[in-house]
Amino acid sequence: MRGWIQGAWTVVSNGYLVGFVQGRIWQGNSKAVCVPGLNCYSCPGAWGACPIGSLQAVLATREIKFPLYVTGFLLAFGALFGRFVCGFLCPFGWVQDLLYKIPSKKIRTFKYDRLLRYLKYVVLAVLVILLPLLVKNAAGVGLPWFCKWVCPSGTLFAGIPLLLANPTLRAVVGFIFSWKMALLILIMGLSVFIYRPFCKYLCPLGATYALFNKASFYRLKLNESACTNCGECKRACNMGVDPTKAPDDMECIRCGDCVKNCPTKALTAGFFTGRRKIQPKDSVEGSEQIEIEIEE
Amino acid sequence: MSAGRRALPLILLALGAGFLVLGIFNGEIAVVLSRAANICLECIGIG
Repeated sequence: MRGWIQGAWTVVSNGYLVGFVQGRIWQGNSKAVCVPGLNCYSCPGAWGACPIGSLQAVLATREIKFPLYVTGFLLAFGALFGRFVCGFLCPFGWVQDLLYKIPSKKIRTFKYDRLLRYLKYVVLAVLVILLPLLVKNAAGVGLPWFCKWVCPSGTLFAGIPLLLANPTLRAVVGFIFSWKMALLILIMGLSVFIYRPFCKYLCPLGATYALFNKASFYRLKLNESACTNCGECKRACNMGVDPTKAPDDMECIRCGDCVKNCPTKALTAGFFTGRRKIQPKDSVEGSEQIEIEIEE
Repeated sequence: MSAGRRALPLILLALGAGFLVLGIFNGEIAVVLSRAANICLECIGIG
């Protein structure tokens, strides 16, 4: 079901099909609105703007000191969904999910796995915020460093289709495109063996939404009285999270695999707005029927 | 869960809405539109 939602969202948010044929992009006013996921605004089909690209664009200007508009989108999406966006509404996340379905030996964790997850916060701070803000040319304009040197979503959804359909752009391809293609191939290759390597280690948008996981409306909740500590949820989690210890872990992308695999239905995911009572349908056979506020 | 913790998503959402409105009045919408409505050469690996 999640795969269908991801696919549908990718198609709907990149539905300007004429752009793919003619090698150009949609230029209407909807491009001023940020979409929740990492969806390059130079993708020929994109109707909206990538929040990370927009953030860099505003920071790179001479006039604007603080990016209120894009920060507003990030705060709103973060408060509503947290990393649910990563799990359901990110086209590049979907691509990685599909690649992970290819039968192969899977690497669930390795020595520096946890340490490397902090790298995405460094990418956010340095490539997305500091460099576009501080490194300016003579005219006072900066560059979108993350888009230029890293973003594999831009290469896959914008660079490749535009270059295939537009001979003028093809004529000026150089080293940076080769570098970005190499990075894209590396990330896509790793995605066959490691679940979502880009989301885990590099994505600045995932890093941003991770900060909201403890404070978003969409949450994961654990009914401790129903949990038998069987460990099924931890085994089901491809992001390496133990929902019984930290249902609001910053690495949780709210994919719902733990909820689906919990034999006692102790885990629930959804929009929680405040006090919630355990209803009889949430309880397991033989457990006490009580009405309490669920604590984390 | 404390009342403050329960109110946090609502506070963040309201803050986001406020920032959005202030950003529009600050002229940022034009910056985003002009950037997003033209092919970003850096994004596709050319610029």
